[in-house]
Amino acid sequence: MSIVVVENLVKVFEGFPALRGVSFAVEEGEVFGLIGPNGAGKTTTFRILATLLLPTSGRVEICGLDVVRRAAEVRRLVSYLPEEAGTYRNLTGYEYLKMMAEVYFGSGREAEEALELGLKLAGLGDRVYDKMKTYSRGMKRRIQVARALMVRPRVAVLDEPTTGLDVIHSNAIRRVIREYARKWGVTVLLSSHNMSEVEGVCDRIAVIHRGRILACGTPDELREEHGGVSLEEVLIKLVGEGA
Amino acid sequence: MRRFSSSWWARGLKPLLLKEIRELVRDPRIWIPFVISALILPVLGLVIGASMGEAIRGAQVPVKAGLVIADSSPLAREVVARLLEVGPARGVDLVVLNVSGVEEALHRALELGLECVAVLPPGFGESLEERRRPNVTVLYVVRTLSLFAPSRGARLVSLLGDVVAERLISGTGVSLDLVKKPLREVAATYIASKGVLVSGDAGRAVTSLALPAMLVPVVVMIVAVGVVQMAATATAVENEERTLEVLLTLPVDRFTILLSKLLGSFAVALIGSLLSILGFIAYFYVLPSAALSLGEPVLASLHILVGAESLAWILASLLVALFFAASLGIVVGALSSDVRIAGALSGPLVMLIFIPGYYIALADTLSLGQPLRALLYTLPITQPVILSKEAIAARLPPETPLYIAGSLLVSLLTVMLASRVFTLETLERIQRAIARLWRRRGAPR
Repeated sequence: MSIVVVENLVKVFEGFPALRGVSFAVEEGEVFGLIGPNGAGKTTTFRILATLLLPTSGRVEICGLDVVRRAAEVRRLVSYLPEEAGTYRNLTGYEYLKMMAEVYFGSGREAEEALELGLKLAGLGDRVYDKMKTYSRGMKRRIQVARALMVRPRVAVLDEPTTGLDVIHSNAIRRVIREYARKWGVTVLLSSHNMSEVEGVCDRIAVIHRGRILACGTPDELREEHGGVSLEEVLIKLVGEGA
Repeated sequence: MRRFSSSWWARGLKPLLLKEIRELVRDPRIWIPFVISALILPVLGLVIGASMGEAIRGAQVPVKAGLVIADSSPLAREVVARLLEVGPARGVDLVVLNVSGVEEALHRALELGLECVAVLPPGFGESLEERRRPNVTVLYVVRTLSLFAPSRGARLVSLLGDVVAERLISGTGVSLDLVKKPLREVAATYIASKGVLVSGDAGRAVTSLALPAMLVPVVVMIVAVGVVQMAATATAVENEERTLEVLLTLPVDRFTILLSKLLGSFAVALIGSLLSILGFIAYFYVLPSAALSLGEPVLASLHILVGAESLAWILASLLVALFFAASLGIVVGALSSDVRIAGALSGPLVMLIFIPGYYIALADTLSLGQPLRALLYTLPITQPVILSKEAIAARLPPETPLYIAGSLLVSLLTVMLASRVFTLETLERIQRAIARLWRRRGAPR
């Protein structure tokens, strides 16, 4: 059963068409990757899924709920990590995660469990009690990934979760996402420029370019169908054809 | 995620409010304006007090004055002798100048460092003999701009006037003091608008009322401005630090998000405002001369003339005004993509607060038309200004509770309207438009 359904999604910004009829579906428990060059429409698609933007036309449903008409309910099911999510300078990582746990679960046992999971996912040790303005970019990203996943959403939408991070931090975050999705059966949608990352983490991938989905399938299917040795070659070939 | 607490407070407002307060309280940028105003006002009082003290001490130094005698009559000589006799006791050091005209007198005055010169013209003694008002020409020399400079030169004229008057009434048995102050006055003033009888003449009573009536609105406006800027900064930081996007995807409605920001800013603003008000109080205690001429009537009249009930209504109104100022700041901050733009937008908004505030502080509000008065009483920003002014100068109208309720309603409506447009899409559109305008204004021509 498809937990995310996107049908003929169009988004126009002040005359500029950012999405020109995007369609795809994601199954429950799947890790789904959206790849494409800069300005392809990945972030716009994710922002619509996260109820931050309204579609110009088309249909988007998460767990059978329309993201426009039932946005409040969708927000309870979806956790979104923006590409450039910032942190509160004067809060500690612990306080931030605790606040998020309370926003979702109040102050009961569920909140404590969520906080415990968040602390584990962040893996910052005692530094989690320091103010976040003292964190490195990698530490901030780990806190944000932990924040997005600790509430065990039905769907986690992660926009470029490892962007700007070094190999060590990227690898740590990839491992967290992969293990987390497997363990909790959470559906994950992620975007990335890093093809090896997408190949290692995602069950299925959609290639988006200039607001259109050019191809969709497992990494093996895409390689087979489009005749590339690696996903990078597939992307270059598809984007070149689509240009 | 599977199940949610049913409490709006526990799962929405409380954690977000705590986050706001922690962020604000720990941010030194928020405290700087409040701490500066709390520290700078007593320092300002010290500086003004010191300069006034310096000026007063300067005023007590004897005046160096010149006298040109163009009349050789016995009466003129008698007056000059008397002037030279009593001058030092009255703080006037006189020098007789042997010059022929005003121009030469000016040159000599400059050479000798004199502050004024009196010329007794021909016929001075004759006028005195015939008990007519004698002519005299006075030349003042001003070397520096000081508060007390004009009164120093006038000391010579006062002395000359007294000596002439003494001569005019000599032989009548009437003392100069009786002529100058013929009545033993015991004055009282009834302030009709308050139904209060106070001792002293009307001038003193009006000054006692007018000073606090104008001062309190100024304090209210300054505090409100601080709150607008703080709330705007706190919200613009969410845009600048890219934290708003996550906030808007949480399972919390936008009104709650805005309300948490509003209440957080409001709570911190209350502490900050107390600092500012303490600064004002310190100003009046530190300013030594003001403690006698301004501070005492201000504090005394506030204490005596504003009853406890009126004070309670003013405080309630002030709280609503601060709440509204915080909501305005949040709207400005939300529409600004960074703190710099929020600061630039707060400037004109602050003027919008000051203009009606100044109008109320200076105008005779009791004579305004009823619709305008009702509007000024209902708008959250003008309400505490007009209430505090009228509580001091007159009485609060019986509809005051209704006006305060209306003001609270306006504040809540502002937040509700803001929450309607508080979506990423709308905010980004407005922010883009503002940023375009900003770039156009800042672009080199």
